[in-house]
Amino acid sequence: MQSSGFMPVVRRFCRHRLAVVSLFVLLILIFMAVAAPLIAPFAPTKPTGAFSKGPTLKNILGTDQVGRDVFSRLLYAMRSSLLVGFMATVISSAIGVVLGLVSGYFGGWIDKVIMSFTDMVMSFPYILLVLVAAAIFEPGLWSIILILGFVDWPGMARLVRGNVLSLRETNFVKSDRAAGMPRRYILFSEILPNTIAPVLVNATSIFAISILDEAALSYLGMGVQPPTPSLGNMLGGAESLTILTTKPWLWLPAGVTIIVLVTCINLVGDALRDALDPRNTLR
Amino acid sequence: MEPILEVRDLDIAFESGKTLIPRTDKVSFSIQPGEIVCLVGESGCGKSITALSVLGLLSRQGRVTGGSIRLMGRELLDMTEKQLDEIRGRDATMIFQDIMYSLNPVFTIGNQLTEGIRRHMRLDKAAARERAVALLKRTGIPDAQGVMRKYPHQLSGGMRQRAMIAMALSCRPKLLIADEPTTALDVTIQLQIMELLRSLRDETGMAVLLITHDIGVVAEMADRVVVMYAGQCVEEADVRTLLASPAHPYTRALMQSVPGIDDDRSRRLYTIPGSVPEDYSHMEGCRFAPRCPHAQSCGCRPEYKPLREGHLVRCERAGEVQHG
Repeated sequence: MQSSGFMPVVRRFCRHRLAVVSLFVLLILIFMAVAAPLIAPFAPTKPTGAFSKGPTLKNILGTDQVGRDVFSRLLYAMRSSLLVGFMATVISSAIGVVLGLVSGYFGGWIDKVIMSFTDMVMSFPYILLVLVAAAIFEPGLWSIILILGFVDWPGMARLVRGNVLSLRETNFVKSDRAAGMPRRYILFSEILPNTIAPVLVNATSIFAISILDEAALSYLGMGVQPPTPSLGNMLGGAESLTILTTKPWLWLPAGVTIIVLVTCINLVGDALRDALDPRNTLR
Repeated sequence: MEPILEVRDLDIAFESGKTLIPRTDKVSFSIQPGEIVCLVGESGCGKSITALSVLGLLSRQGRVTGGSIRLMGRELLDMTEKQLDEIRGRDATMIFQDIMYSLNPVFTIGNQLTEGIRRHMRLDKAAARERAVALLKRTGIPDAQGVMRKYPHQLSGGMRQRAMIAMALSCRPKLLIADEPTTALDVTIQLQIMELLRSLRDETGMAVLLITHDIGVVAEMADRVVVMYAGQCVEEADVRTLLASPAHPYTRALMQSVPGIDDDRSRRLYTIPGSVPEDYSHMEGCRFAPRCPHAQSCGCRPEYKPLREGHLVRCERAGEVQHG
């Protein structure tokens, strides 16, 4: 039998060709976003020449209505979108994991209170909540991160709680208690590592959803504020029918980037689910 | 000598909705240092919850409603969870039946084994590892160094149970509670594990409370036997007396339902008619009466009393049963 640990997971992941390609594409896009200041030919907020001109050698994806280079803006837009997605995922995962752990392990009234609160957040008309929050707080990159982070966690909390509920009945948890291990140790060093796999998979879907939500909010003008580019507010130009039909370079790049990002993240998440499934270890 | 464990009049009840349903009725027994006591009975008669309650490990619905549990003279029922944590693992510990999930699947054996040792014995990493390897060797694992690096799913059932025992023994407990430790294993491994437990007892002088429904295991292992039926102790005696002349009809029936190697071929294997009633808390008088071949129509109310020195029975007709 092969040794357990990290390598078999990688091997199982590599069995999904599409996911490997997706991961590759994703890494390239992330690299381009991170290295935007080095790659971008122009500053994202400065006019460079003609307004709303199609792709030329100088501006490979054309220029927007204010004369800014679309390619440069796209690179910086990916930066803000990925940052929003990543940070929102980190925040909501942290909230969800902690609440789920506590709720599942301690049970009783603690569980009831936390789960009612979770259901409340979950059943609230989501986009409305975000819109109201965005209207109350000053819209901007960090406020949208916080808003999405504090709204996306209920799914994670429920997932972790469900896992903990079944794990706390297992004998290794009972054995730990029989061995006099403290609760903190049992919760964080025994139960938590067993829920890492589903948490990771769920996090990828939160990542994808956050990017979509950011795009939606910014498109509606409640998210990242111009002139700072984001994939959402770059789509803003598509509101007009003439642009939509005659000037595709203004909205196509941002739109395609969103689709590619979200698809790749979801494919990677799916492959991760298979790769981390302990039932696959026996094969 | 002062007993290691003394359980007296223990009542455990389980919550069902708003009502409490009693599951044990004044269970009493004690274990001397170095003694192996078997707790015997059918499924659902209260053996496991009795054992779990000793370490305060009853599930959320269960609670102790009366009686006392004294471990080396200290009352466990009055202790806080924190105080119990000091006792658990060091003075008394427990191993379980299900070997599949008795070890954490995401950590290596070595990792899990050293964790407990380091906590209770305050050893550094290297010393804890050394002790862990020695323990694994002692439990009869051939490649102890290699097993330290393995994950639970890479071990066989017998190996896993050995690793479990090593873990339980890591801090030299004075009482080991084993809840059907070999039920999930095949017969040869079962024998090896039992022999291991007994030799560990001889070596360390720890007391063992062994829960089983297997009379064969009882004959093999026990110094003394406590038979439970429907939440009550029905008979207690040293193993020779119990096997030679059982005085309670239930004990007798249990023994008759084991096939013997030199049985007459024509002997029909005895089965006890019916099963343990699901809710026996409201039953008046003898709880075994509905299934008992000796039951009288009057419906007696037997008390748990000594038949002679060291032999307790809960049956009005114990004397007749013993000689009939």
